[in-house]
Amino acid sequence: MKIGCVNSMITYRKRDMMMEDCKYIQDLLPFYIDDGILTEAERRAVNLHIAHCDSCSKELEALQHNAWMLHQMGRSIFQAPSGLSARIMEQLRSETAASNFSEAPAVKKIEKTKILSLRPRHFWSGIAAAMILAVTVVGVPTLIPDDSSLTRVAQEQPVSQVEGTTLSTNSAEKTETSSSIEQTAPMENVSSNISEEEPTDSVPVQAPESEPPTVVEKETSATSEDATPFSSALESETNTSTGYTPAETQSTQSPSNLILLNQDDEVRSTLLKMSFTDVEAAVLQLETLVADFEGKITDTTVSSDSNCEIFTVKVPRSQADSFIVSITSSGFVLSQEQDFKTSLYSQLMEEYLQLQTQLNASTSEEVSMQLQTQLAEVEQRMNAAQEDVQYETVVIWIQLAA
Amino acid sequence: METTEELILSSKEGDLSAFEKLVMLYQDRVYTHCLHLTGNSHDAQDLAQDVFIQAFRKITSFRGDSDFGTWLHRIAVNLWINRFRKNNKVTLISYDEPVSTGDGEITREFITTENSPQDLVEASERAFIVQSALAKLPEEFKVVVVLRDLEGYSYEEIAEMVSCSLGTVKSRISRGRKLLRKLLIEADVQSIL
Repeated sequence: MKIGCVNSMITYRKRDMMMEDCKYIQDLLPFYIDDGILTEAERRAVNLHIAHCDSCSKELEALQHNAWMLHQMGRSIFQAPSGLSARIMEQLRSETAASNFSEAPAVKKIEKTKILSLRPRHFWSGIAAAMILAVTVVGVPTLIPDDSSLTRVAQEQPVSQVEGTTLSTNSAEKTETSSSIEQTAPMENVSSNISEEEPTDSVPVQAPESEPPTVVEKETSATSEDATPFSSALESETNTSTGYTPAETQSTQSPSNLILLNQDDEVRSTLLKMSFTDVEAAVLQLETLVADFEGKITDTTVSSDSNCEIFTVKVPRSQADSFIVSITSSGFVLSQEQDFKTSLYSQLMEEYLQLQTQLNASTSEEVSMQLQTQLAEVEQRMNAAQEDVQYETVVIWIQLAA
Repeated sequence: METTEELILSSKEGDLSAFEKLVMLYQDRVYTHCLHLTGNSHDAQDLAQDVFIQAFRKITSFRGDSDFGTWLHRIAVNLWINRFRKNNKVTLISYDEPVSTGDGEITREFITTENSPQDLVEASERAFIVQSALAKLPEEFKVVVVLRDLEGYSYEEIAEMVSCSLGTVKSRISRGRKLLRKLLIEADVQSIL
């Protein structure tokens, strides 16, 4: 073998090693600019490498510069547009006013509404004002975390108990909540079950498949003689014999996942407010929302006890989350917060990112090829997750007190 | 003058005027944070409004373990993630673009300025380029980069805010920074052409 060949082989090896080094170092570079993320050994490796690698050295410089620019941008505070605070306070005052409006005289007003708002359709007859709203989400992965605890909650606890916990923020309030509709809680008592900042607080309820969302027993005691519509609503839920069974009415679907809405103060006050003017307002609001989101109501069903009306809504997949958000901001509160992490697509994205990281860190060609194959598969599944389902089905379940 | 703690306490009792003072105190910070997240003033205003509404509804759950401003930021991040997760439409406008208000158009103002007007103009132009690149990042990456690089939250805080594992946050920051670098190179090339 000629010496020149040996030299070139050594050069190639050096280059290969260098390139492998670069690959490894470039994975570390984004973290180099932060303190305490890299280990001492990793930091040393970066220092050693950039001392003789122009490319990585420039890369680091650029990353540092970008970080500095972002930091500078972050130091500027922009003045909020004039009128922002006024708009916020206006909305809060109107909400508070609405809440106050539904205080003491609520029952009488509801009784009046009860007469005025009779609908010709049989299932509205005898409607009282209070409504309990539930949403069954069929095939909406974003709303149904893949968490066995959901089923566990539903199986271990009678639904009434679970509802009891969602009715108010503490047990001492339960009686008040269920027995007294006229007591509208102040804003600070609004349940934080769907707390944006505390997603884990919510108490999701998922009914077992083919199980009706019936309430086994009313937990709270509405002892008052003039039981309010809201407590009546609870009572109606206790009627297991006539209770609505999703499986019966959703013949074409499998509503294995039931998510009950919280009946917290916020929902009550909002729903009550609507019932003051027109009991159909809730339905109208729903129909408007569905239209706004280019969805369609594909089915309307009545429960066997005529206590509830069920709307099956098809919403474009791309709009489904926004639709749910709008529903919740309209007073229909989901007990299960949408979880950013739980959508199928996001899960695949996580998987994809992890594989990508492994691929970047991989030094073996064989492993790299395997990872690339896996990446391609995940990518395909991601595309499928986006394309396969054009529409998501959201079943909105409105239950009314008889 | 009442302290922030006193205002929070009063707000927890339903005192709207106390909460209004909190809004006045924090609206610039929250609006700026929302601007970073949304990339445009219109969405930032909407988001900021929702943040305060949500904050008032949930204020009893604020225990005071963290700074009130940080708590508001968390609400903003959660609302933003929830609302725009699948909506990739981002209308980008310059930070210099006037804001439409009920009283006509106003120009945004820097409150904290430590630089000369010339510097500000250059910084503003650069900021626009960076903001443009930032807006192009996938939402998952953008949120963590904004929280880390613009707002200086620690990795652990970000993990808590976006409900992700620390590993995921690291991965997203790494990829987000790399992608941003690539986008800025492209933007620079375009500006030369």
